[in-house]
Amino acid sequence: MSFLKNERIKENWYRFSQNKTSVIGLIIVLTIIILAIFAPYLTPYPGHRGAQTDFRNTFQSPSRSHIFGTDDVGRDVFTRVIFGFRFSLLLSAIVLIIGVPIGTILGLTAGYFGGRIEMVILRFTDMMLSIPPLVMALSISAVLTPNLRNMMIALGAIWWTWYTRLVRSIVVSIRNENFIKSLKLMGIGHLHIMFKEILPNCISEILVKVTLDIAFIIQLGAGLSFLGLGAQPPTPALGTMISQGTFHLPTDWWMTVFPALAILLLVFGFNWLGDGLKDMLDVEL
Amino acid sequence: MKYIEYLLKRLIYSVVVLFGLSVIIFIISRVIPGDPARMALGPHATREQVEALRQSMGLHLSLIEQYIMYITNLFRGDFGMSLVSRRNVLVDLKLYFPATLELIIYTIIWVVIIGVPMGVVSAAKKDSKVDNFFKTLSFSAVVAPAFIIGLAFQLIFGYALNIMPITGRLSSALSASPRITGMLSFDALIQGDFQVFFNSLRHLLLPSLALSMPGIGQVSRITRASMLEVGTKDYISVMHSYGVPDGIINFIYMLKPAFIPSLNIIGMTFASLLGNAFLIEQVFSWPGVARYGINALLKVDVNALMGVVLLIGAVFLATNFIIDLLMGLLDPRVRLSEED
Repeated sequence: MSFLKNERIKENWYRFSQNKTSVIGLIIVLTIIILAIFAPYLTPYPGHRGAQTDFRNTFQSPSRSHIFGTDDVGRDVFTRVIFGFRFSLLLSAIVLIIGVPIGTILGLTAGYFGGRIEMVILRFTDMMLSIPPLVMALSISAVLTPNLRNMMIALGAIWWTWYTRLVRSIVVSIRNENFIKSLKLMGIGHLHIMFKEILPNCISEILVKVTLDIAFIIQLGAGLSFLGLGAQPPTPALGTMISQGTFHLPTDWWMTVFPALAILLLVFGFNWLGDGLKDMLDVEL
Repeated sequence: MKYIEYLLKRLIYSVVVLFGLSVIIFIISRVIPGDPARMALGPHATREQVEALRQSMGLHLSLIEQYIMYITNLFRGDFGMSLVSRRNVLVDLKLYFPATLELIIYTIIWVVIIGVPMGVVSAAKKDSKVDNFFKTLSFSAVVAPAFIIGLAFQLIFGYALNIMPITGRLSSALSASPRITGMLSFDALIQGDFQVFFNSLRHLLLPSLALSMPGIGQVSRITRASMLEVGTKDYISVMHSYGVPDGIINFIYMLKPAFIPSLNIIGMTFASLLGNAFLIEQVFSWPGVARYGINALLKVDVNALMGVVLLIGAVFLATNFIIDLLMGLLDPRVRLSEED
């Protein structure tokens, strides 16, 4: 058995590594995760993540001691970018931890039971989807005061919709299969069929979507922070850093450019990884 | 099912969604902590004044009565007073919306005239260097956040090369043509003021291009995929064997069926386009409705915010209705199918 398992892993890795960019994506993502976890030990000035200031070293252009330069209060931009990775990953993780289970359960319910339940859930989902996610997140973070925690709640509250649609469409395609019918005839409980028999068929799709969504949430989070509605200074969120940097364009360009590049690295990394997983698991989204 | 019936069904659906949206917005506005009457009047108002305003705003009524009042007021054109500008929110929206609409119109133009040909050429020259280049380009355009593309444009074309204006709608030396639509470039064109027209076009170019990038990427991808699919059909092989020129086959006979999925994608990405408009307007200091919304948000101007969200939702639904309408015209299968 373990031999077969090894063979399967090998085959999957072969399919994954067929595309060079998937491997690059994987390397980028792993590097970023390690940097984010060990940020306090890997950054030159871990104290600069917060409100600490160093007014003798403001607006230093990139040099050997500050490879990304320093900002308006003398903090090391490189340090803050690495801590920014941390906040971006944390944001995606929490939004998905809120959104994915809700969306999956609603999608399973809608697809499995069909009829009126399906119609109500789908119409409600459509309604939520008709509001641009950024606008919805804006309104919610307006109700709650803008900060990192509320941004997570706001995005989590709208994120389930995509999973409802995705899971429901898969369930609909298999709900009339014979194995489901026979399970029903055997008198197996609804919950068992939904979660033990149907859900495993959706896992690949959910996994790929999660990977691609991490990039999307990072992008949205950066956007919200850029507008001043997400994490507030001195939190080292990448979007916040960009928006503060734009006040000092074009002379002190490094304050804007490096956090922006960091966001690009994040979103490209996760998208490449997601595309690789898509090929490997043979998933169509 | 007849075309009219199909359209009616879509229209009713849009109205229902809009109604739902108004309920959601209303609920959000009512859970905001704090007393709206007190916030409207400021800290120096007397208790009697606040109580009088509470009465006239209907805050003593039940939630359902308040909602009915809110809806009837909306139909009368009363969107409530903005706490910041002290005007009916509708007046503000009329003032700021044209700038956003103008931006969106140019964005859609770019999406169609750049995205579609990119997809056609990509499919015609499958696996060539051009195809690979376009594929990389559209991937990057989809993945990179639009506001970062906007910032990059600003840095490169505005600051470094200094050939493009960085912010605003018009150079300060010029004054806008008399207002007809509120969209500067169209107003200037109608009235033959070409100096203003070209100046406003220059200001529009960078923000609208940045905003159109995700759309261009999506549309060229979908167009490429559906062109490749259409290309395997028998009638295309027949045309090739009759010696019909490739350009005519590609752009006329294959593009029409291949364009339908692209149209659908434009509708689906419209939500993210509207979302991105908030960021792009902020980056380029574009005085549109999105920027108005952000300011309302930061100042907890509830009525203004509700107006903006409702307007954005309505624009989104209207666009999707127009797209449904076009899809029905282009593709009989859409209007003839039993299900919606």
